[in-house]
Amino acid sequence: MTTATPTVPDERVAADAGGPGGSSGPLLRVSDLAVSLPTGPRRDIQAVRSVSLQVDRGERIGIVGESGSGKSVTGRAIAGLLPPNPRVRVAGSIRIDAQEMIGAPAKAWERIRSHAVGMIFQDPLTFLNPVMKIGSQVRESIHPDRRSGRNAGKDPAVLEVLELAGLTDVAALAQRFPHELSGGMRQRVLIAIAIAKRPDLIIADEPTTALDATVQRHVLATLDETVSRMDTSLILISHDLAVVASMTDRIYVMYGGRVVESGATGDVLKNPRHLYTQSLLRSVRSLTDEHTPLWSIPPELRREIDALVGRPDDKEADSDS
Amino acid sequence: MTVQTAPPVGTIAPIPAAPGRGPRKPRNPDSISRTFFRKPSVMFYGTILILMVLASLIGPLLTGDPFSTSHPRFQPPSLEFPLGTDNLGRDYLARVLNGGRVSLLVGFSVAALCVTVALIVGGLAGFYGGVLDIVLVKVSEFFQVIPGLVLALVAAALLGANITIIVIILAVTMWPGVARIVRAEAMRIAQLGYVESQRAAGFSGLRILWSDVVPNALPPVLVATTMTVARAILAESGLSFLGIGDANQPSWGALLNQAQPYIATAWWLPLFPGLCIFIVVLAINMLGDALNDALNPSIGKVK
Amino acid sequence: MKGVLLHYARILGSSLILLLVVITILFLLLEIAPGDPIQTLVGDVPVSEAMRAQLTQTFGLDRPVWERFAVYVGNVVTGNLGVSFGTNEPVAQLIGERVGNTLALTIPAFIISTAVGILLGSIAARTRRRWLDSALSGTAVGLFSLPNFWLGLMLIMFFSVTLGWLPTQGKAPYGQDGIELQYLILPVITMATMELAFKARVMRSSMIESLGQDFVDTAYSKGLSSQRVLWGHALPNALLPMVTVAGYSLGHMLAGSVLVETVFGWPGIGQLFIGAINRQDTLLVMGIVIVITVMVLIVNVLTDVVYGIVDPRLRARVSRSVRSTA
Repeated sequence: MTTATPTVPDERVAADAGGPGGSSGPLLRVSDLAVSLPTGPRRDIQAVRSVSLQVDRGERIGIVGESGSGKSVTGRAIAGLLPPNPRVRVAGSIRIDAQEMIGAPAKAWERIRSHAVGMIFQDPLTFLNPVMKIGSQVRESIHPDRRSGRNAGKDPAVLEVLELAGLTDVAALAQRFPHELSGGMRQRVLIAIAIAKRPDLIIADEPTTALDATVQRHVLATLDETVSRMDTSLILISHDLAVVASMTDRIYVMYGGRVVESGATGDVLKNPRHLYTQSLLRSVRSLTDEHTPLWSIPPELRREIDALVGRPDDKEADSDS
Repeated sequence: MTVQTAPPVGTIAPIPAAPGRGPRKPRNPDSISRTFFRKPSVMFYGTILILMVLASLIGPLLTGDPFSTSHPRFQPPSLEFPLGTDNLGRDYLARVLNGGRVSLLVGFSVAALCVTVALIVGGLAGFYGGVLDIVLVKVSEFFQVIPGLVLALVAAALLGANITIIVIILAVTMWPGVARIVRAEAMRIAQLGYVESQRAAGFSGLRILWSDVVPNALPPVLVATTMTVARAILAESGLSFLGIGDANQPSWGALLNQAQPYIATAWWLPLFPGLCIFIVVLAINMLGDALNDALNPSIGKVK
Repeated sequence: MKGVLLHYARILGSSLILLLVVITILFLLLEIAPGDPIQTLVGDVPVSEAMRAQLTQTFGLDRPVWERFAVYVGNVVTGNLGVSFGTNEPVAQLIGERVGNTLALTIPAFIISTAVGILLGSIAARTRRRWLDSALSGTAVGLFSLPNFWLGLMLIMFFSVTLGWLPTQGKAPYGQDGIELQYLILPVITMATMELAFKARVMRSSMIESLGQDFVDTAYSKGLSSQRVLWGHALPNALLPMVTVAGYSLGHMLAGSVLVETVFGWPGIGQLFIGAINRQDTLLVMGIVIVITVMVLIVNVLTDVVYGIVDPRLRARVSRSVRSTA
């Protein structure tokens, strides 16, 4: 685990010994990330055992897996948003723009989160402050230099960002409270909050799971559009293969806290190599394809996958990894 | 103690969050008892409480007559009179211990009566709903509006002041609060799946209530009961401090009342009875808190 | 707008009904009270035959219950609470003279207990130092378990008798020279202590719950400092339940004034009440109970108003919300 001194984020220093990315190095490089979380008075669980991934500028990757695979925890770890419980332990390396973030002081994380990394959460109702107006909540995300006027409702920067996120009648909207909006609108507000800081990377954690199917498509389209327009990198975390398939260049499949397969999205989905990916695709296809009977991963197969992945009995707490 | 609940829109409950309350996780009763009784605070305060109760029960048999005025008056605490003597020359230790009997008796009786009534009324109201429910809510509101102490004072003044009446009056002022908790639990449990299936299987409502609803409603009710004991002891001592009480069996509060003229001259007279009230109530409150923590586990939960 | 009016009309309506119920119950208690009704009415004062006849006529004691009740209610509504037999003064006047004194205790105690309770509760909730949290919580439980009248006695013993810093008996602080603070200190502390402990406990758990909410994560994701997240996001949400608690607390303190005023000899309605009870001055007792009930009802309505103001979700119930299909 390396701890480099934090660099000033305004200088986009080229990464050294970079990966196979372009000349400026990957925007994000995660190596051997491991996260352990407390689940009881004396119990811990290894939510993430060993994850390595990489995101270049403008690239879109997806992280897929079932619940419990550790994909959400990975996303949060990258944004530094794990619970502030002292029993949470993180190991490995997370380099954002060549700056090592594991072990970095809180101020460094604050700077990264206010400029470079934005996060879109799952359930827009609970993730918006119920007693604060929409406009104010969006404005907090905008850099103080780019704000104008005293009133969030009249700040053109706020209104612009709301429109970018696909909302209409934004002047009135900015004065409203979250409970007055529909689910789709609230999710767009979360998108607006994320893009308002003009980030280099957006992490979207199950951004449409809490929405109706029709609204899902619209919101995804909006996300797609805004990410393209701003040329932001995207990490899309979802258990829904269809969502990830349509929006990402590369994909990482997670199971049991590890990445079991990765590659270009189209490749992985057409020719899965890992047993788990194959099983996953098979069960998904059985859902959508009328000619195939419903199929879910049977216990014996699951045990086989567990053995492949090297997943120990969860009752023990791994002390290192 | 992180609780991951978000209030659903439109149902903002104006009832403040009780300390430690969170999403209920079904817990093994054995593990609860084990973690509960092993906690240091439980062992400490539990012991204190048991000691106080024992002292009040057995103590009076061992010490002298609390009414005998044969001793020298106004003696500060000494070896002969561990708590001194009062203005009439009575052994204060004996008086305090006897006072404990009354205070504790009233406290526990009120709680017992209160909880019994609350379980019945609250359980029926929450489970069946309807008229009984509405009546309970209205009665609850009434007792919230008129402060309990005031009502108790008026009732006691008009109806007389022996121990039985005081117990009844205090129980009457306190039961709606507990009944509300029982009702909320009953309503919650009545909606659970297995209750519905029991109904479908033909079990009578009362039987379901007795065998399933009540046992599952117990955790918060138990906590509320301990708090009720503490509040009852405080309420009774308040009443007797104001002069409402059985003159022949002075409780701690009554002793404090009688000690008022002497705070400048005989410091032990107002000190000890009040100290006893404080210790007992503190022990009960601590036990109640520990009970609450044991029954509503909420460690740093992670999403 | 109509929604708002309707809502408050309903609240006022139920408040009035509650008041009526209170009066009825008081009346009924009087009916079941054992003993001679005239003596009950008059209290300790001995009754002559002439007085008895006059009272029977004035109060219509020979008339049926419901008529007497109606007469009484009518009187109450017009502000006539009867005459106190112990002192021969109108009840309303007696109460009016002393309400100010009680409020002089209750209001500062309310402000102090609320402000300090919120502060301590917030600190206990967010501090990373476990010892501080344990210490504050433990102190809160301790203060919560103190009988406040005993606390008062102990304070007097310590500060007045032993140290001689403060006077032993309170008196109305509004003398010719204005407010005399030293009389206020001990009674206000006594009154505020238990409430402070309770509020600190509630605030702590409310703040902990608020800090665990999802929108706090969103706030952090914006790169806000933890100070800003705490004060700007967590605290406003944690204060919501405190509004109701504060409302209950005010009513609770009004009742507690009975005890505190007795300990300190404070000439407020609490002391008036006790005197009336001991003298069995029935009309005065009923009058005070009614006044206290009215005050509590007013506080309840105010609580509702404040809650509606600070929680925008409740404002929605009285205004139309914006809905869209996207």
